[in-house]
Amino acid sequence: MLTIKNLVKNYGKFTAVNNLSLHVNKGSIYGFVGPNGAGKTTTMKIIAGLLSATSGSVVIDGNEVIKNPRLLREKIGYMPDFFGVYDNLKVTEYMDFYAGTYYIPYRERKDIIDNLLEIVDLSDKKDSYVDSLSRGMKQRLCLARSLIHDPELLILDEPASGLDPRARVEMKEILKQLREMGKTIIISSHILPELAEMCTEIGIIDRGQLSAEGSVAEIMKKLTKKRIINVKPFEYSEKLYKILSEKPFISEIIENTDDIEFAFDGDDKQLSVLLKDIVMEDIPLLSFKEKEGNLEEIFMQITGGNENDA
Amino acid sequence: MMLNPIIRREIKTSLRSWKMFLAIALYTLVVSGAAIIFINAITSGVYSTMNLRELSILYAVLGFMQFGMTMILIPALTAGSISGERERQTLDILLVTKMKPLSIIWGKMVSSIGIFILMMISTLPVFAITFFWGGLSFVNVIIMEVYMIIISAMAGSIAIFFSTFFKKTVASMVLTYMVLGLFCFGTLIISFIYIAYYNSIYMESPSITTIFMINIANPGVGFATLMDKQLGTDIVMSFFGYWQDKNNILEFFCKYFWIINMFVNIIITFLFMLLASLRLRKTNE
Repeated sequence: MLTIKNLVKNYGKFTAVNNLSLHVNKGSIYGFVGPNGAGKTTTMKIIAGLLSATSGSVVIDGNEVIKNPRLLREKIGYMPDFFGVYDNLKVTEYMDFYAGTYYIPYRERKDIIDNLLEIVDLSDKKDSYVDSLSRGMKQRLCLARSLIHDPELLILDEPASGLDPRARVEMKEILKQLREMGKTIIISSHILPELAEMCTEIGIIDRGQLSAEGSVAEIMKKLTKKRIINVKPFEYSEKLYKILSEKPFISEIIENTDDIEFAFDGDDKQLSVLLKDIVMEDIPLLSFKEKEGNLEEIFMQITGGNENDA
Repeated sequence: MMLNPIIRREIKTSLRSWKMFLAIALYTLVVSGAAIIFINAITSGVYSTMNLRELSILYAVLGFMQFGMTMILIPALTAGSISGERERQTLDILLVTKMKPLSIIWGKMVSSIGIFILMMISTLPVFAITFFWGGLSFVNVIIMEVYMIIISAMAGSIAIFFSTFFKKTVASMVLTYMVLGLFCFGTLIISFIYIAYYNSIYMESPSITTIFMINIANPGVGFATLMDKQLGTDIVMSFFGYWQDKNNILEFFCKYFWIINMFVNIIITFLFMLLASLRLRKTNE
């Protein structure tokens, strides 16, 4: 769907995007993560045709953005990180205005608008004035607006920023629904855990460069050298500690009040053998699971190095 | 045919605003007030009568008043066209739509001028006084209003052009007033300097053609020649010190300068609109 090759954007001597290359598959949700000022918004604006690149190429469905920005506007729906609304305009009028900017015939507009307002759960607000809506509602309305021309690719720049937890959950649900509808979505955030749940792929950008790319699991596997395993026995067992301490691929065993955590340096087969050994020793277990990596830590690990260089 | 969505939206939101209601009311009040004061002044004499000539003066006074208000109001109405979108953070959203920059500029221009046309229509009954009592014809008023619309389009296009450059509406407004000042007063000053210089060298006045060429884009001179044409006066010629030459070839300019000036202003309007759209195309680069 989208291929970016060696993208560079300079503002004078400052390089906002530095030789960035990435590929987004059709129908996927691509999370674009990076600290503030990493180059996310610049990249997204270039994809949307709002900014010209210093060098490099952005290809959407085989079409170069630079060569054919107007045609690509049919394919792209863009939601900026900061946006305003017009005063004295009702929700349906706001949508109708943008339908007009895409030259959608009058007779088709009502159905499109009703449908989109239903998707973003604003049907009951259709006669409200846009400036009277809450921030979360405005974000959802802006999302509906970006869908008015039924684009294939959605570029959402920090759509969940400034939203309360409930509004964030609602936004996630809408995005899942859009993915089911076959939309390809590029979504940015400076908070990795926020995107981890909903994205099929993630690209971590820092100082204009892509530091890591892949699924959340792949990135974590790549960056987390040892897996953390948590075992919860039914009752305290000396035998369990003995088994764990005898294994060469186990280290850093920590005994908590009601569970044990340890670093595991083996593969999945060795992990299953370990579980079998414990069970064979007749140690009753309540749980045996791999602890999920701390996404915040991973994010800091990837982006922190460069921060130190600054 | 689909109406430009910006025109639809702007007109709708403007007319919902109490500020617009207030602006139209104030505008009508000022024009009507001037007319009442004038009529009161000319009828409060010994004989308490008025003649048609005096009604012509009322027409000219109201016309120049409207001209002045056009020059003041239009930059205020249009200088925020693009910078306002920037301030409101709606410009990027607008630029990713299928609307072409020229179409955006056109929409902004027509909606701003549309509001001004509404103001002009609201004062038409005041102008009607002059032909109600037999002073001038309705056609005179219509020609004057058409000229006013063209002038307002010219002023609006300059304001929109500057609006594409600045983030703050105030900056584009100030620059528009400066350019309009240059058009109206700058060319006049240059004309008088040239006349004085020519007189000092050749001991005679330069050709009026040169003076009109200097003022070719001056909406004030254009409007004054229109008034001269409609009222049968020679104020513009006299203003430049050419009253003695009014019966020779120069009369051509007296009669038709306002038409030439009108077309020049139409060209200027399209030029600034084109430049504004080019600027808008590169606005984020």
